[in-house]
Amino acid sequence: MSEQDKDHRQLVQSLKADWEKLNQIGDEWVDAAYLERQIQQAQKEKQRAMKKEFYLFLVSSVFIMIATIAVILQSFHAFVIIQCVTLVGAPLILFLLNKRKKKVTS
Amino acid sequence: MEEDDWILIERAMQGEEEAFSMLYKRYYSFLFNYLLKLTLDEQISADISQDTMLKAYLRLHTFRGDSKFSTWLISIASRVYVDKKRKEKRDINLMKQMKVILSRQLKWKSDQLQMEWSDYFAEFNQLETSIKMPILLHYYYGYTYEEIGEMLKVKAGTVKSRVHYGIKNVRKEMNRIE
Repeated sequence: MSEQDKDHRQLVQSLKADWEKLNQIGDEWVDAAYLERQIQQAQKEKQRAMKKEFYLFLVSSVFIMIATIAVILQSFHAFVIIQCVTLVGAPLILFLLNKRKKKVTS
Repeated sequence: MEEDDWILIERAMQGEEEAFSMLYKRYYSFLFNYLLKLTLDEQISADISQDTMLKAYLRLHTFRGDSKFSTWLISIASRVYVDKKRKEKRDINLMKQMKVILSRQLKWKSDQLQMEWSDYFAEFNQLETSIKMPILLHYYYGYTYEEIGEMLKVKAGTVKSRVHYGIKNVRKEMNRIE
């Protein structure tokens, strides 16, 4: 084995030994309670992301539906009226549903 | 990939929270220890581990199972870390002046456990992330240059030259010190 190979082997072995020590420290750092908190947080984040996706889907589907109705009726007025009613009505329904949900949970 | 893992992944994809929780518990330490070797900071490692697990959870449907789940997680974590470093580029001048050393908490813990670090380790930690990462993945985790290339989205040849350049640099610095 050449001197260079020896050096290389020693370098890699030393680094591996140091990384093992870091593993030892890392294993002590992560405990069960900490993990539980992290999991709960991740689940909350996922729910939030799914809700966002759902609302986006809802808004775009309502828009497409209204546009289709307007095209079928061939009336720009119908488009504007339905759009206005939806813009006011949808948040109102959402607000009422949330209020009811809060009442039930409390 | 372990069959057991695949069952858990499928259950988690179907929305079973318990399955995800089991995957989280199984792989968090592995991910945290990988990041600790790169960052030498528990808080940063914990933040990136959490980010990575969340990203994996949200994109679980994109996991095809052609590699190990741990490999998939390492590739996400590596990219999250590289992005974070890129965002911190503004402070690069400040970072260049400081030597990358163990965080205070980590140093306290290693002192408590009477751990000593090699000179190679000190020199290795001065390397850039793009060099450090493939060296760690190749020599510690045993990934091939091709696998690392896929994980970090670079060519296998680039990975190989980065590993050689990094090792050569560490050796050069050591010779200079001696």
